[in-house]
Amino acid sequence: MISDYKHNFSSHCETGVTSDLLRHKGLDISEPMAMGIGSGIFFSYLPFIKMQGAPMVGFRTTPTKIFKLTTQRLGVKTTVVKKFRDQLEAMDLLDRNLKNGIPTGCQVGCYHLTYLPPEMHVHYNFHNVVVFGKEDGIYHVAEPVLEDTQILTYKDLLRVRFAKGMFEPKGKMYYIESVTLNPDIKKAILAGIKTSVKNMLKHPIPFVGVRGMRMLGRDIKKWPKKLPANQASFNLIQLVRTVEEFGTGGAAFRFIYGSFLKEAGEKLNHDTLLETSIEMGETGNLWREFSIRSGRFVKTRNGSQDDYSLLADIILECAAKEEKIFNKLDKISK
Amino acid sequence: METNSDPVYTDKRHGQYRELFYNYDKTGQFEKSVGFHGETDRVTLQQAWDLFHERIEEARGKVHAGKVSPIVYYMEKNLVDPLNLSMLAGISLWKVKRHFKPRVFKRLSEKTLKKYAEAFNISIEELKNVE
Repeated sequence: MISDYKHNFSSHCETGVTSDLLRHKGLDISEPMAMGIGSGIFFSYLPFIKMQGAPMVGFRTTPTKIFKLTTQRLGVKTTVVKKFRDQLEAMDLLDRNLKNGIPTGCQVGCYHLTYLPPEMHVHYNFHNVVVFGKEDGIYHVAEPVLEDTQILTYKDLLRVRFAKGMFEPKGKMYYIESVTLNPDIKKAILAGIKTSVKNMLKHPIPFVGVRGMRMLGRDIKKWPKKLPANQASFNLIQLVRTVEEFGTGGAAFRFIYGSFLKEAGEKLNHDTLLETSIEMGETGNLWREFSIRSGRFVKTRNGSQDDYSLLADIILECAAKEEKIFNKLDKISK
Repeated sequence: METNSDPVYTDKRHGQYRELFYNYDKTGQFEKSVGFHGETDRVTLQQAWDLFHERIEEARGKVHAGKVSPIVYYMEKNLVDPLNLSMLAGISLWKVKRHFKPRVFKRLSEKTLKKYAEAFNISIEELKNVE
């Protein structure tokens, strides 16, 4: 049977899934709100982990963390099944949920998702979709980053839920059991901001948060000297792809987070939040400038030391701005 | 974020799908818009894809010249690195790196070839012959 699930087009997979599942239960939480309450803003620079030879730069927290934190803070009762040993058991549990009319979120790998456009067929296992119905052995899937709902066969769904590679999903699934209407939204927002501040400013690992951004800025300056020209430009293009392409809503989630701050500021009538939302928007524009500028010389591979220094300076400026923003937020979230 | 109401990818290698963007304008308003990537974004992202296609073509040339095995070509085509490939196929990293040599690749058993073919989602014949 197919439940009356309403699919909304969203920018990022996990916030989209979270807000849609909550809306289905009657709790109106928008996508930016889910981003803020779930503390989705993050930065990590891991030079020792190489993706196709380029250092890994991450802008998102671990998968399903946004869902977990958002629901926890809104007092929503959920079930998260972390992993299954048996593949058939995972599908049976999903079938049982669908029979009871519960839309269920699943962590999947992108590569074998048949409906995605060709350039999104990458081995990336942090994707989230909602399965909301089954009819004649065909599953109905709400894909947050596409406009319309899609269908998948049993075999295909099994394959994407147990995709192989780095960070395997292992059939992870999650669903909402019951919600409390009229939650304490102020408490939830402040708790979300507090965790974000901790992640960006006070994280014990030096590669994370503002410190990580500074480290990346310093390293970009060294690239043209240390690395051959094609490797340096390849590193840069991978960075730009993570900033703009992987469902970030533009500028590495900064715009989504900015709209969260604005929405929260309007809801709570809070001046500092409104003020920081404007600053966050400006930081987002800086990130955009970074990707546009780096696009200019990547193709020709004749980026000089000056070009790389300029890009590094933009990142360092972003770090300084974000430090200021989160220091302000730190004061109000106490 | 610049958005466009018309499809901008003229390249046949790419599908065309719209995305939801959040953007910020100078008056301090955050807005949502649905559309294709704008001109400036497209140029940047297209360059990234050009770079990948260049790498793939380079790998293809090497395979035809007999310098590396077809596994390298398919690895580049799937945008993975050796470590990721070893996880996908369930073969240890040092073995995967060894299989990059054409001499070693020729002697691989059906069973190992099947593991690679499944990881790349192709048939064994396709794996052996790079077009």
